[in-house]
Amino acid sequence: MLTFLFKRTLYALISLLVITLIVFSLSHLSGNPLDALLPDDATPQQIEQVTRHLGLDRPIWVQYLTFLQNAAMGDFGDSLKWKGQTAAEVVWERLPATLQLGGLALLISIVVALPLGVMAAVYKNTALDAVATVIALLGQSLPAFWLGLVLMWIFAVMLGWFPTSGYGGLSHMILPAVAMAWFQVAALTRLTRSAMLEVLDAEYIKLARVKGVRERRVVWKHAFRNAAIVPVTYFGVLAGSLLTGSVVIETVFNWPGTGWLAITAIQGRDFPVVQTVVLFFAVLFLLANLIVDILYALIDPRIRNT
Amino acid sequence: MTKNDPILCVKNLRTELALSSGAIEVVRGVSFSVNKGETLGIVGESGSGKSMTALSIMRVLPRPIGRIAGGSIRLDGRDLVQLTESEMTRIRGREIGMILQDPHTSLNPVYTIGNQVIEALQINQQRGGLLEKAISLLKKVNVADAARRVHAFPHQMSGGMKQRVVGAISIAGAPKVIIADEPTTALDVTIQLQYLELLEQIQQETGTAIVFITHDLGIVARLCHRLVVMYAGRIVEEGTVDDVFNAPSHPYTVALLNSVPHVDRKVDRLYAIKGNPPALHEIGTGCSFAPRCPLADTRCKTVSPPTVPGKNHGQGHFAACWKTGEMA
Repeated sequence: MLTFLFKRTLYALISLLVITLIVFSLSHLSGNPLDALLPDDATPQQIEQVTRHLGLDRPIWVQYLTFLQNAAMGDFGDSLKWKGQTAAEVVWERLPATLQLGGLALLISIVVALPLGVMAAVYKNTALDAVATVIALLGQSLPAFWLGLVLMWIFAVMLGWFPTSGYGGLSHMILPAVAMAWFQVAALTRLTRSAMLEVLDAEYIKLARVKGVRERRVVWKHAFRNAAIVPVTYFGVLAGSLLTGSVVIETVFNWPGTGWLAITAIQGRDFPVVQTVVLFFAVLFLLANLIVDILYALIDPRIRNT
Repeated sequence: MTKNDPILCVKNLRTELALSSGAIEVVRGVSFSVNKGETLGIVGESGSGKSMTALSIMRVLPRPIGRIAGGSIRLDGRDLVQLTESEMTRIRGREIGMILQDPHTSLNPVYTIGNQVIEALQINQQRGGLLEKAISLLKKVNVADAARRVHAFPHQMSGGMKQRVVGAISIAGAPKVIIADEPTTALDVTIQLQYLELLEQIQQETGTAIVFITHDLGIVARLCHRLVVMYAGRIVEEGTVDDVFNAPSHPYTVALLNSVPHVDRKVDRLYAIKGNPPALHEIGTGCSFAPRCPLADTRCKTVSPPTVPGKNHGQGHFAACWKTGEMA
């Protein structure tokens, strides 16, 4: 188990290194940063001064190592768009909002989708299964921005149960979280359902039944743990995409998160911020996948020993 | 053991599977009984309905397509067909146990052996010292090094050992009947014999009745007291092992016995029954074996055969055939 954990963590670190390399190269591919930093009529002296100040005259690999070293200490340079703030500060300010919203959406997805998927499999071809299928179909076919607007119109404007938009407590989060979660609920329900259907056909389920295990226990103890591998795999994608924020939802609900920040930074060619955001997202994805690997090992003893 | 003291009595059992093409009857009026402490063999080819009969008795037919369409299954006088699902849950494991065919897939891969044996003990109202009880149960089925193996996962054990564990689970509740559905088919030949000896040992110790489902006549001869031969969802012959092997009274049984290879007889070509078992939706009104039967005439093909006494008129020896009297 410890070797397994060690190996997986090592893989994650290697992936992270590769990502820093890509992030670093991309910022150099997209044009000379001097063009963005300096006015069009900059003098050669100014250009040379800034070049030396930023270390752009040094060999590229030295620049990369410097970038790595600074990144490791949380220094991604100063933001170009938000004057007087470092890139890390800009991202750091936005992160809590995104993590709150994403966390709630993640919670909703799991709490709704897992039981729904399991029940849809157990009561296959019944009304309950049909309801689950409709929920999944709606979730996967309705665009999130439209769903967000409709939810806002019904529950905020007509019923007045929730505020329409803006940053705030739980009541502010519910509508955007539901709008974000719905698509994921759809995917997760369908995955869980099909995994459960396959497992419920297994011989060990038959053995559990013939040995006198009650049906509820057959489903949750014997079947679900085996089927869980599939939704857990998706959890990596799910957590990654929810926690990094949704540009669309954050825009519709005027939610000051990192999704919105990423778009604004890209439009403003604020490279330090873009780099920071991308790296933060990468770390979140890697963490989510590391958790997935650990969950695998906890669920299935056969994976622990490989 | 007292003879003719039936513990399990199946009468006119009919089981249907609802397929997309329509319902087909996979068990078509099967009747037999098993006495206390007896081993009954159910023999037949794949698709003859022998496993479906077993699943019907346990009431674990494939969901949601399988259902018992008629008949009764009396266990110690209680009709299992009439029980509710929760009443049936209390019968399973406690009064009837079952051993499945493939030990590699019949244990849950994510729980330890101990967990799965202890669960069976708990179902049977055992409390306290469960780990010790599980270990002693494993010892009873000859699992070597049981105190260590109890913490192992199924993938860390051999097929023979896993099937012993399944055996331990099936006897955890000291059931009156154990149904073994081809429990040795997936095992190596040397392990097969050990397993059969284990079943005999369990039977001697507990006095449980065993229903042994197989296509291997050698095992039947070795293990069973009586047997029924199934073909296309029906019983075509029934009798003691001696009677059926010495005086087979249905052409299908004769053909089955002929297709068993003998070590002491060298033949160029092994005997095989011509044709295939009928698809269950195309069975006509007559004897289902008629299309493959060397003795069949027009009556065989159109009129369902009567049940007649076996050739040597042995006690409880019957065949469902028009031609038993004419057989050499």
